[in-house]
Amino acid sequence: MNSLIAIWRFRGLARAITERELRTRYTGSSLGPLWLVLQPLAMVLVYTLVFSQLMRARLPGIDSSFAYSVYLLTGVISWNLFLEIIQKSKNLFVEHGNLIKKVSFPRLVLYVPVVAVSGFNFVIMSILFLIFTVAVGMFPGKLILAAGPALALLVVFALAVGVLLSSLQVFFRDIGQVIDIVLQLLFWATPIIYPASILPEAVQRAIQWNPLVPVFRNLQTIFLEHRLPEFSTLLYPLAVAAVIALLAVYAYRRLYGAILDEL
Amino acid sequence: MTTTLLHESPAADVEARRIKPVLRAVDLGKAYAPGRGKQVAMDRLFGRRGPPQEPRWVFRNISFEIARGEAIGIIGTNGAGKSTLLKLLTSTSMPSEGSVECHGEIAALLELGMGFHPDFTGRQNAYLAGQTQGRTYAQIDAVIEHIREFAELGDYFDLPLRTYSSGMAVRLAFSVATAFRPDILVVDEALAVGDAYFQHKSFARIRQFLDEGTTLLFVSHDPSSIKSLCTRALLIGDGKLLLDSTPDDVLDFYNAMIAERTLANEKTAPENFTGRSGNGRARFDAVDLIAPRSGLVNQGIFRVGEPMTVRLTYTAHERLDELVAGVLIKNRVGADAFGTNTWFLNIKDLGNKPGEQRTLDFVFDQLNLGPGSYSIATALHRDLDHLGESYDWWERAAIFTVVLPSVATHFIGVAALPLQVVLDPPGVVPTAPQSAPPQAPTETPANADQAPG
Repeated sequence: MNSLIAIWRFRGLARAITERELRTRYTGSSLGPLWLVLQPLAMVLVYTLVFSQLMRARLPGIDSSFAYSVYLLTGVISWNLFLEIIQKSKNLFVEHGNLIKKVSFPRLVLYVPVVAVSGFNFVIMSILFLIFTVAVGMFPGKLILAAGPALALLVVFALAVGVLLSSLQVFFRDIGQVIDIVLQLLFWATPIIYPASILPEAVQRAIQWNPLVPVFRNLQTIFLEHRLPEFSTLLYPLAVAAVIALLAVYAYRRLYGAILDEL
Repeated sequence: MTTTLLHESPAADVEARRIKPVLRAVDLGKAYAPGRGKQVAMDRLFGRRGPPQEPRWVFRNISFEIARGEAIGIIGTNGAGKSTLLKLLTSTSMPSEGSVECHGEIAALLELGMGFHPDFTGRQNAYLAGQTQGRTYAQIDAVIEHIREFAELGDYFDLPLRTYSSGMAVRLAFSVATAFRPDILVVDEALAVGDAYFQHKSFARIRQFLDEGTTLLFVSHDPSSIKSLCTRALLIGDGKLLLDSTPDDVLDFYNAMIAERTLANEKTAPENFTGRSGNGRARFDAVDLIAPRSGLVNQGIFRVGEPMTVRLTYTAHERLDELVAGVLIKNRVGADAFGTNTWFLNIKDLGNKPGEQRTLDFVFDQLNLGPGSYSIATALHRDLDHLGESYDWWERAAIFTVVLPSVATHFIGVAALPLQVVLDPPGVVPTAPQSAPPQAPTETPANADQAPG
């Protein structure tokens, strides 16, 4: 609770670092902030045009040429949010070492820009994505509000992993490499690119252990089937996230003094 | 080398401590385990607390209390741990043992730049730095013009920080750190980079803060700025708090310490020359410096006017009827300060007990030497001086440091001459002012003034 109050007190710092992160991406370029939109736009166009028009990929059971594009974008955009938070957090202490060594402020404030910048990218992509769904007549309407729990869980999950990794990364630099591989495996162990239905029965059961599967399933239900997802399936990922969060808090508290010495 | 504490508690100090401290260090210690971060992390994760295994201690057992409004100078040689201490106090580093209690807001000007970002302008960095201290945009907006004016950066204020000189960066850092009056201001040598003009300006601001009740912690190698700003000083060295006293006392002790260290280095420098010569028919076994008041042997530090005994232990290996022993005190640069021998003092029979160890004391009732570092050369020779026949000549047989006892007896120079100053002494009739001599050439002084111009 105290740390939440501290974060609120240092909201100016969080805002400044967020702005700095966003601005460094385009400082000196002539198109300026437009670049923040152009990259996601390119991605959305590739996924929609290439898969629906060129490759004519179809989802089994749904008779729409855009269904696979919607499926793909739902998963990829959400996965990017998850991935970006983890990757930005993992080097957090090393990256801000200069500041951390010289000024005393609540370190947790540094995670706010991580979420804010990743969230900013996510929102831009989502807007482009929603425009696309409207264009192809697959906008789920009020139902998009039902995506809230799954997305919130995704952010909390990523943040818990991020806090844990950032504390460990200061000492064990291999962790950064290891986690990239683990994330790749996790990505392919989650039905994002492919529909779960194409998997053999045994594999389908096996990936139920992957806590991210119900989260993405929730989102895909909303955007493809246009119906309320089963929120109760989120309890398992929530429990996993809670355990990781506890580990993260433990590691951070225990290591904090040593982190300051090691930077 | 041993250094003993000359612990004093001046009245002002005691007075200050009655007020509630803003900063308190209790048994503070910091240890690092360089190159063994992984091990430390594992230990921490699996339950071990406290200092790391195989620690390298920067310092231990530092305790002090600082009252509101005190101005503390922190003094110590390079690597003594001054910056580490400041980091613990500003919680940019965690103590390995002991604790820090802080009641108030700290603004710290630690190393250059305070975490500035090189690609952002001075203005943007000022905002960012203000926010690391928990200020809001609005609060910084209110003072940003003052920051700009005080730093005197001109157009550079809106240029990226990487285009700044180091002096400009310090000016910006100081202006930002002092934009709001903090409860505790910590300044770590940073100001040394600024030019004289900016130093004056920043000292004026620090003084103004002090008047308004800010507590100052100030690290500097410049004795004059410590003397002029601080009311108290802490000397850190040899991994501990050596002295906590008035700035004058601490600086004197510190200077003596430095001098002693220099001398110790000189002593070991020429490896082939031991500093001893002579034919060895008589030889010193030991030369010891004794402080008669405390009974301490070879503690190496004496106050001006304190007694000191030079104890020579020697053995004559055959009967030497004309054996003479001498001592010669030399100052830091090797100039003779005082020397004498038993021939001049008319002490005889030094060499009439061959093969037997004997002791000879030179007792100085008052060591009336100026503050500084001294060495003692001792000699055993035949007759008046060592030019006749030298049995044993021992250069730098002992080293000691003379320090001022307190501020009250300040003087400069190599000798401490006993002195009384009397204004209008009784029995002296002031001479009646003479009427101006008629021919006195009043123009002469004027000419003299013009001459050198």
